[in-house]
Amino acid sequence: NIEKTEDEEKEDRAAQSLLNKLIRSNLVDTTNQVEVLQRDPTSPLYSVKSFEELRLKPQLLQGVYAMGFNRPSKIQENALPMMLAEPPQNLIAQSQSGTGKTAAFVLAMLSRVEPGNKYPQCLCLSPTYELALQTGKVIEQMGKFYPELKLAYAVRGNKLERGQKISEQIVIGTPGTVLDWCSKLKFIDPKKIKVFVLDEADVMIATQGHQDQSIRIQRMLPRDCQMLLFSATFEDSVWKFAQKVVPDPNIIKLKREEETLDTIKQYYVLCSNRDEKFQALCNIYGAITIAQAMVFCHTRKTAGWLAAELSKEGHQVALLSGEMMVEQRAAVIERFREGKEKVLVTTNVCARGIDVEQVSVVINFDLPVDKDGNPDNETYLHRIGRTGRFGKRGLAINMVDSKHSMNILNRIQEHFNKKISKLDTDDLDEIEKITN
Amino acid sequence: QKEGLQVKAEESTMQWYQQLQDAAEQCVAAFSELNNCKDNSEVKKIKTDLQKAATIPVSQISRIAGSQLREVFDKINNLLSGKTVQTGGRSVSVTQHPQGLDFVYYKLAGKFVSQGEEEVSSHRDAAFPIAVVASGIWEMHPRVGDLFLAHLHKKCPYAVPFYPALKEGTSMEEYQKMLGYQVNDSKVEEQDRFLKRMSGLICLYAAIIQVQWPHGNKQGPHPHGLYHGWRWLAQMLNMEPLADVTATLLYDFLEVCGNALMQQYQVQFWKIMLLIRDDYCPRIEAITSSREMGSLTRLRQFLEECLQKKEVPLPKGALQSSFWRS
Amino acid sequence: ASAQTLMSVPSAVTNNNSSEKLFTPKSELSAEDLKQFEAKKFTIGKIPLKPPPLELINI
Ligand SMILES: Nc1ncnc2c1ncn2[C@@H]1O[C@H](COP(=O)(O)OP(=O)(O)O)[C@@H](O)[C@H]1O
Repeated sequence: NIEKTEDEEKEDRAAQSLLNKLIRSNLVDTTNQVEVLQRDPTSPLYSVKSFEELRLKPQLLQGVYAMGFNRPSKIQENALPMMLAEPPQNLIAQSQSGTGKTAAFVLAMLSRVEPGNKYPQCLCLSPTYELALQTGKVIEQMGKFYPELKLAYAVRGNKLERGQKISEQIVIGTPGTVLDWCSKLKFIDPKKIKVFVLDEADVMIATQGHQDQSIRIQRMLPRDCQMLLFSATFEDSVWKFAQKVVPDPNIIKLKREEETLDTIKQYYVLCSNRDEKFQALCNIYGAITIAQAMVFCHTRKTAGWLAAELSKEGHQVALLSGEMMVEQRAAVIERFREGKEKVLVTTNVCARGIDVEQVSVVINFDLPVDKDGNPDNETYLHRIGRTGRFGKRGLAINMVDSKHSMNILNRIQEHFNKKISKLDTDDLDEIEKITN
Repeated sequence: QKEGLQVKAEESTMQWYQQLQDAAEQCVAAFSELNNCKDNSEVKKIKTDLQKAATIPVSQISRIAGSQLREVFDKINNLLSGKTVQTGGRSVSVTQHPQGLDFVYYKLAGKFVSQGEEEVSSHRDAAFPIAVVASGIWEMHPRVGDLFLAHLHKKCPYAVPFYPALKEGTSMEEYQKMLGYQVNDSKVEEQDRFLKRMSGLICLYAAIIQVQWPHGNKQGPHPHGLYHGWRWLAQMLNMEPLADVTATLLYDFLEVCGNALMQQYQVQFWKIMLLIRDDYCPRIEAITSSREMGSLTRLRQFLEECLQKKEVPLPKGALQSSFWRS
Repeated sequence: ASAQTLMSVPSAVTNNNSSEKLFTPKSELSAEDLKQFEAKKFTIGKIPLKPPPLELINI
């Protein structure tokens, strides 16, 4: 069942985006340069290296620091001065997930809002309810020192009395409901909106109807409303959509950091069967300190078996498996991120698209192969590849249990032209050394 | 030198630090035979089993349930008490080798520290379950405590606390390592990541000094209690601050054990809080670039809030009494 | 293996120290430290490393 219907693919994008948000607790490192295209190329280009330079309202600067931030991320260095400039400017920004886009536009919304005015002034569109909630949390954290600031969720199921007006200054929701609230139900007066944010545009347009609804909302806004659009990827379709909803934009792009095997130490362990692989895994745990590890298995059955064996040994194990609903997967990932469970056992299919950069150790209990049994290099790279800066030293350990899998490993090694060293897991001293 | 503040930690602090380092070295020497057993496969097996039996339970500490934490504790305590324990389907006991116990002490203490470093730096909450097990084991087996401190101080001199000085003849790389930075192929780790690791270790220390294993049979005084919270804080504040590091660690420390210190030392604690706000923060500010006010701002926010409410909030992630019934 | 190896040696550094308690008796404080505890405020750089005496936590 590798083939998926188009609808499933689309649903997957929103799910992946959510799961990635949930598993992330840090900024993604990037060494790539930000590309900036200004609407007015003659105006000076500002970039800031500190939050102080932005001259934020004191409550907001406090909020930013209280979140634990010390300095702007790469994309924020350029995006923030643009978003906060007077008069307001429109912006289209693209960079991979985890680079600080959400924090940036939340800061922009909070800067423009007048908490004293009790009506919606900022409108933010998200592809799904769950993603909207994630953004809402950031607004609440960053707006911590603005007690009078309130937030409303325009999502399906959130019913209001007819004829009522919303007093919250920021509304965040999914396109369908927001459209209803602005037009049919008139809970929101779109003419009073000062900042319009369209988040995760690429995920958005993958959902039937969202594109049209977003455009219809945008048409109701005043001409001087600031329009901001964010996307992790930038295919043609996203670009066309962006141009429709964001007139006269500045454009910021940050190339996706190539995943590389340069900063990762790769090893393989020779075993003769499943039980020996399990023993090897236990020995690894005895020798190195692993805050959190992700273990990939080929089949659901192996994953279930392994999770059970690890639990028997007293490990706290989470199992992510294919038949789970998105909400269940989200719950598992959230617990894992919180550190309730320390080992995440999963099959390849259901961890597809999840960024495991936060996890310091990846173990291929089974090597990734495609449906013809050939090495799946792309998956291998995605599972263990890292973006290359210091501090994200990663460790990948591959379990080999037959001539066949040794052959696969060799082919992977040849493909990437990167050495995968042999590790003797019976010698704990040797395992300890690999983390130094 | 600015009036009032010292550049160095007090002599007594440094002596204590040195004694602990010496004790750790002696311990290593005491299990050298077991450690260098390359050609004796029988001994090597014992060593492997002992190490697994000591360290794997530590990696299983979690806040899922009190009963689970008890199991972990029992596994470690049984091992240190000479009982036979199971690891990976094999039986092992420290009595299998005359140097077994020293070896296990050392590995276990190091493991507590590295677990704190790896885990608490990304999940603050993790400090408490690790701390409560470590403190319980410390109470029953005091040498684990000394070794824990020695390992901790080596990774994080600020836990002593002291700021290593650059001596003539020390290379930059060596010095960075003394300061606690990780250096790989001459590349120093980034400041934010370094601070996160140091924060994790300080949070673990701040948690340990205030928690006690609730199921102890003798329940004597804490083996390394809040006394050290006072000592740490006083020593820290008597020294010239270091940009970024001092504000970050003071904030972490107070957030985790400020409440406990307040309850214990009352007025004297508030005198410290006032001193930090009125006298010490300006000193930090003076050495901090105006573009890097994040850590100092967080410290100030925290102090303001506490002084206003006359109350230090309970730390996030502390284990409630209901936890032990789970 | 002998049972002797199991007799855990008492901690060499931390625990044989009788001052290891929560408060410091006045008699164990230097005059300067006592002055600091009795004052309304601490002088910067002079906070005593020993914790305060029990009598002085509530002035
Ligand atoms: N300037 C910053 N300094 C430190 N952490 C940051 C900064 N900006 C964002 N973060 C954190 O990095 C993570 C990713 O940021 P986010 O704004 O969600 O990225 P994106 O929207 O691009 O996926 C979040 O955990 C966020 O709190």
